[in-house]
Amino acid sequence: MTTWEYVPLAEYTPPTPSVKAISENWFAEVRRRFGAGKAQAEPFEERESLKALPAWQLQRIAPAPAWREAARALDVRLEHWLADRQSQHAPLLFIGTPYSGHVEILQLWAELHEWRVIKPPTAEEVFAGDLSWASDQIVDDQPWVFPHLERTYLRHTEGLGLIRRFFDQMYAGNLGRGLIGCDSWSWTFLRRFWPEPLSNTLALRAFDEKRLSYYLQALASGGEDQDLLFRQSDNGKYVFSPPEDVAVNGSVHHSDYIQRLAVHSRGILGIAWTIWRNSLRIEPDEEIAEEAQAEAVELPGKTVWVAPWSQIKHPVMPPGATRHQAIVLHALLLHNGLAGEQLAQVTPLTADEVTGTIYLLQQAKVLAESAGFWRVTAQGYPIARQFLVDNGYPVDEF
Amino acid sequence: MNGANSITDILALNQDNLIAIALILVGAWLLIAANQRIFPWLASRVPNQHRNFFLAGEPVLRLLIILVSVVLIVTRIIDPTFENLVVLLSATGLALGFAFKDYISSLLAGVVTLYELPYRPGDWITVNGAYGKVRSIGTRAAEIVTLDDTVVVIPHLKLWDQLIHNGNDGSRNLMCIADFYLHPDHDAARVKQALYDVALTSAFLQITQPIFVIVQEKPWATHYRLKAYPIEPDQQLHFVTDLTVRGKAKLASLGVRFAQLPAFPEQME
Repeated sequence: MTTWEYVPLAEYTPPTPSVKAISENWFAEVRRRFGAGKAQAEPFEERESLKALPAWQLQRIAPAPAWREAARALDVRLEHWLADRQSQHAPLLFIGTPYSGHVEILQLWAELHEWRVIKPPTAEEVFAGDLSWASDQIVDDQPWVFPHLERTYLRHTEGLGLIRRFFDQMYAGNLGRGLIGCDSWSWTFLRRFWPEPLSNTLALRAFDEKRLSYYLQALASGGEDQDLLFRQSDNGKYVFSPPEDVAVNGSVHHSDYIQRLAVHSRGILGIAWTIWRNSLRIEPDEEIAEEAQAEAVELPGKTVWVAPWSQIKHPVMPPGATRHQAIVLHALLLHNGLAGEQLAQVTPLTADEVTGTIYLLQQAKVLAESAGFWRVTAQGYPIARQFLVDNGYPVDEF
Repeated sequence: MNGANSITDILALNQDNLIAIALILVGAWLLIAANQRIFPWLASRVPNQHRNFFLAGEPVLRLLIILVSVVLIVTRIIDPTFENLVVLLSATGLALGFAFKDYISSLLAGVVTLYELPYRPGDWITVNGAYGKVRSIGTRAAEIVTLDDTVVVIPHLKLWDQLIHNGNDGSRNLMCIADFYLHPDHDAARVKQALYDVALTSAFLQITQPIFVIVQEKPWATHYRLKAYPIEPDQQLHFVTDLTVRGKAKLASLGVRFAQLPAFPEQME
């Protein structure tokens, strides 16, 4: 099986839930809305014998996704495009959802080919609408990669001029050959006012149950056969395919955890990976001392416990001020994150309302700040997206 | 003659029947009261996109309860043969037709309302100059809540002879219009593009719906009508306010002058 596959945008489909998962989610939602159940599943009730994995073990069992492999796979996918002389002035657009790794993939792909990576404009340059930001970085018709198309606009009356000029120049062939990355939410908006969508669009195929299972298992083994077993902590079911002797004995002890993870994360690897890491538990006596880790001790036959899906604590939207929360979340997703002052510029809310709403969403772990930008967290993304759907907001097509 | 000749001949109003009828009426009243509470309660707890569906279910279920109650009562007090029914309906129709003509007309229009759906709970309608959101559809009248938070009761019989304007007709798409009156001396194409961007950058805009900028030259100004759809019909005031505030700021930044009519036209001097 190939982990990294790329498909045209029209062929992208997120994983679909099973009937069982749909009905359970529906009942949980009904219980939540009508007050018959708690607003959120009980947090994982850790048995005394189970504890979260220390950071070094997490790093070993569930390290960060290897985007370099994804970049190599992209390279294979782009062979024809690279060889096609007709595409000298036809930019290729690579669309990715938040946490799907499209920015990292493009940057690594640019490294492979030694193409120039164009830095995004600042907010001031966006408002000024001056295209010299791009033309200064594109020299001698050298090919380029621009992973942050969403940074070239702000949803403000003064914030659309730059991207219009960028598109105009690009289609006129004045910017040379390029590979462009764009966030899926931004693309939904940009398609609205740019009537001529690019024909060359790609997306990383969603991680369905099969692909996710394969990837997480390979991630844990680290390319070596460590013989780790992942079992659900409440019933002992195997999260991945059970060992051969168990399977041969007849009963299939297979957990539906990965299927639920794939559906909940909408096939977005970064989100699935974050939840996966938070679900892992281990017996204290199985914990390998850090010194031993330093000596690269293997973990043969060890069992890593996985919290059952129903006991994983997901963020919940805070009550009250629904309209403000929806406006802030939608603005952040449309721009793939914004600084606080930009958020106030692109929403009709007052600075106090923005601050208060951010605080509420931050407390609920739906938002987090990183490098001066407020973004929807990986764990908060599914609930934020569903919240916007429930309130009638247009969402991305991923 | 063996057939029933008058209404009193065909009615079987003994004590048992009267008690049964009273119980049916009380039961129907209780069911309707419960129905009027349960559906709005359900509607307040489902996602916005399904809210109107639940609100619209209340009058339909109420009608069913009434119909079942009427059938139960009629079959209890008369033998429901064709002749008996004709006598009963003609007698009651004659009596009620004179005494409660408008009331009966409203009731019938209420039934037609549930079938033809000229308005449903959640719709934004204008009837006789009153504009508001349909809060409930009763047996005799509908209630709307205006943008000034005033309840207006509209008898259903208006359906027969009044124009009913429905802004969203059961959907979530309600077109809103922001008007701008500008001094005629300006670059209209530039202003049109600017106003389009004003709508496109509104946080309240439903971007899946189209945006229109309509320009008309008037004797005293150039009239721009910026038409777009908010995400939720309930946001229409916020949306129009947002379009107007940001539209004025954008036009001012372009150096466009707004039309100003003199308080005392020269003709009056």
